[in-house]
Amino acid sequence: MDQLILLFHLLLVDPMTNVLIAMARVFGGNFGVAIIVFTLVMKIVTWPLTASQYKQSRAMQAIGPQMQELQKKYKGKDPKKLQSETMALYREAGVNPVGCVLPMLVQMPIWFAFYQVIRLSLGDTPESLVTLSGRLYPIPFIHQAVPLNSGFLFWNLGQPDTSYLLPVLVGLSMYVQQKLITPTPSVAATPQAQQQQQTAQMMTWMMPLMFGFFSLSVPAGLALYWLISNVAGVVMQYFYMGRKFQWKSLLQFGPPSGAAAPAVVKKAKALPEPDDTAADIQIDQSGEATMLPPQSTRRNKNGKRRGKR
Amino acid sequence: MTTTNVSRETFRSRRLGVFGLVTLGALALIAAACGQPPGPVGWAGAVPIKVDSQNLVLVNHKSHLYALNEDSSVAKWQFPPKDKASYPISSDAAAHLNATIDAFSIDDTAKTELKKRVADVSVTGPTGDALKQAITASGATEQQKSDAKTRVDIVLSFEKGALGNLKALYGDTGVSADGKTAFVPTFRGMVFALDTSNGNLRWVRDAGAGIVGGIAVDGDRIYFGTKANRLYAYTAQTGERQWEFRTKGEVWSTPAIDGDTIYATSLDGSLYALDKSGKQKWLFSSASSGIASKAVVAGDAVYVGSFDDKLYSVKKSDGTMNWSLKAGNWFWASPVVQGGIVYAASLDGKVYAVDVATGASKWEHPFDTSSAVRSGPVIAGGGLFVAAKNGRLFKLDLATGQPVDGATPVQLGVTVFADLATDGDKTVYVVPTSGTLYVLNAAGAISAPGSFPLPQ
Repeated sequence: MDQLILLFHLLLVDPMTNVLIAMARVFGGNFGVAIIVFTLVMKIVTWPLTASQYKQSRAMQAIGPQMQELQKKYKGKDPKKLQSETMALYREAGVNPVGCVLPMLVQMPIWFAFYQVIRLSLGDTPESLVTLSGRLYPIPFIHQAVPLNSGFLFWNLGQPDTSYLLPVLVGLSMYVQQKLITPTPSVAATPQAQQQQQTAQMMTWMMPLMFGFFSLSVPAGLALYWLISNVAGVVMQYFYMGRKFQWKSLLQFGPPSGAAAPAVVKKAKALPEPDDTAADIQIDQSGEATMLPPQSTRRNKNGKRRGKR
Repeated sequence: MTTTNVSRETFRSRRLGVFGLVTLGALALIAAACGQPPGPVGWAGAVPIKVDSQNLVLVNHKSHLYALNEDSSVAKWQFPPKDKASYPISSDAAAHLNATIDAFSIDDTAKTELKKRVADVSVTGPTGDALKQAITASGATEQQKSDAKTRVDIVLSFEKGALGNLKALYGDTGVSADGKTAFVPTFRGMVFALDTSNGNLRWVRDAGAGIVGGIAVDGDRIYFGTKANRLYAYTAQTGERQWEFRTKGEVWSTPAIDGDTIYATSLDGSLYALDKSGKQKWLFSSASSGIASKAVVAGDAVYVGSFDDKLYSVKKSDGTMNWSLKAGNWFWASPVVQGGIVYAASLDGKVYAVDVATGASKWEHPFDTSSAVRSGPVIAGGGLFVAAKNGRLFKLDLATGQPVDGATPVQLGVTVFADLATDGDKTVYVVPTSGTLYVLNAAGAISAPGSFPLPQ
C-alpha cells in the first residue's frame, strides 16, 4: 500500500505540483490562473478519452431497446445465450461497455492527485511548507516560487470557500453538464428501463448536490478546478453534439408525464444484420438514436457499397 | 399494470431514492473526514527558565504550554488550564475593572467589597454573574452600573474566546529578564503574558493575524511579527502597543535584537533592520525567495537562511551582502555561530559549516543527516546537536563535522520540527511532534535521552 501511495505521488502528485507551481510563477505568482490554465490543458489532453466516453454512452443508449428485448427473451431462461447475444449486440454496435467508464476512471486519480496538490501547495500551515519543500524538483525557478500566494479574486484557494459562491457555481455547472450527458427521458417500456431512466435522472441532481457539498469542505482551489472542468466540459459537449442541446430542458427536473405508464418501446430505426463489423450510431435532432448498418453494408448516394473494400 | 406491479415499482423507486440519499450521506461523511486541509500542529521549542530558584522547562505541544519541573513529567502548571472555571481573569482586566469601580460614587468600604468580587472572577463560570449582581446592588449611579457590567461582559467574552482557540503554538515563548513573565504567541494571533510562577494571565492581546515566529524580549519591550505583514513592539508590562511596521510579506520568524537594532526577516525575501522606534535603518532584499529563518547576529554580520536555498551573510552596518552559500534546498533553521564558524542546517538534510568571513567550507564536506532539517541546531557540550525531521539526533564535532566519538545517532522515531534548546552546557531539549520531551546529556558522545511524556 505504501508503495502504491509512493508511486501515486511520484507519477502524479509531484509532477502536477511542480508544473502548477511553475505555471503560477509564469503567471506572476497567481495560483488561481495556474489552476484554470492547468484544468483547460488537462481537458484538452483527456479529450480523446472524453469524446470516446460520449460516443460509447450514446451507442449504449441506442442499443437500449434491443438490450431490453434480449433480457425479456432470455433472462432467467438461458443466461449463456443472453450473454452471447449481448456480446454480439455490443460487437455489432461497436460498443465497449468499459469505454463509458474508462475516461471517468482515468480522471479520478487526477482529481485525487489534484486534491493533494492543492493541499501541498497552498497548505496554510508551516508543516505543509516543509512537506512541500521535499516535493519540489531541484529547479531554482520552482524553488523560488514558494511560498505561493493563495489569494485569487476573493478566495483563499488553500481554504474552503466560506462565501458559498464556489459550491453553488460548482453545483450549477455540474447540473448543466449532467443534463447534457443524460438523454432526454422517453416513455419506457419495461420496469428495468424505467429504473434506468430514474437512475439517470437522479444522477442529474445528485451529482451536482454531492459536488456542491464537497466544495464546502475542500480547499477552494479544488472547487475552482471542478468549476472550470465543468464549464469546459459543457462547452466541449455542446459543440460535440453539434449545438443541438435544448437549453429549455435545463428546467425539466424529472421524467415526462406518463413515463411510468407502459408504452411502446422506441426502437432503433434500423437493426443491423448480424455482422462482425461495427455499426455506427446516428443521433438526430430530437436526441433519438438510430443505429446505422455497418459500414461494409452501407451504400452511398449512388447505391454503391462503401466502407471496407 | 396490476396493483402488485405498481407497489413493486413504488418500492423500487423509493429504494432508489433511499440508496441515493445513503450514497450522498456516505460521500458527505468521506468529504467531511478528509476534505479539510490538515490543521496546524505547532513546533515551538522548549525554553528552560528559573522561577523562584526552581528550574522549569516550558514545553509546547500543539495548543498547550506546560511548565514542567526539571527532568520530570510533572507540570507545575499548564496553559490553557484544564479548569477554566477557576482560572482567574488577567490581572490587566482585573485592574481595568477595579479602575471602573474606583470611579463609582460609593464609599470606600463598598468599593473594597466589590474589588474582592473582581479578584474572584474566573474566565468562565458563574463568578462574573456574581460580580454583576454585586454591581447592581451597589449604590453607584445607573449609568456607572451599566458601564461596569458591560465591561465585565467584554472582558469575560474576550478572555474566554482567547483561551478557547489558540490553534497551535509555533513561535518560541519569550521570557522576561527576571524570569517572571512568559510571552506566548499563538497561530490564532493572540499574545498571552503569563505569570511563570502559576501560569495565570497578566494580559492578553489580539495581534489580528497568526503568529508563526516567537517573541523577542528586550527590556520593557517585546517584539514579534505576524502573517499580516506586520512587525509590532508592545510594552512588556502592560501589553500596550508601541508601534507597528509594515513589511511586504508575512513575518514568520522571531526578531533578533542586537544593541539598538531589531533584525526581522520576511517571506517577501527581505531582512529588515529597524531602530527601536520602528524606523527602518536598512533593507537587505537580495534573496530571490522568502526568508523564514530567524536572523542571527554575530560580530559585524547578520546571518539568514532563505527559501532560495541560500545562506546569506549581511553586513550589520549597512545591509550589504558579504557572501552567500548555496544548498540543495531551503534554509529554514536558524544558523548558530561560534568560533568564527557559521553552522547551518538545510532542508536538503545537510549541515554546513562555513567561515564567517569568507563563507568557505570549514569541513571536508557537509554532514548528511539523510532527512530534512527544519529544527535549529544548538551548540552544547563542545559539539553541534542536530535533529533531523525523521527523528534522528546527532552530536557533531565542531571541527570535523563528524559524529563525536563516532557515536551512532539516536533514533527517536518521531518527527522533529522544533528548534533544539539548551540550558547552557549540560542539557539539550528536544520537542518532537509526539507530545514527549526528550532530554539529552550534552557531555560526551550522544547517548539515549530521558523521555518525559507531556501531561494529557
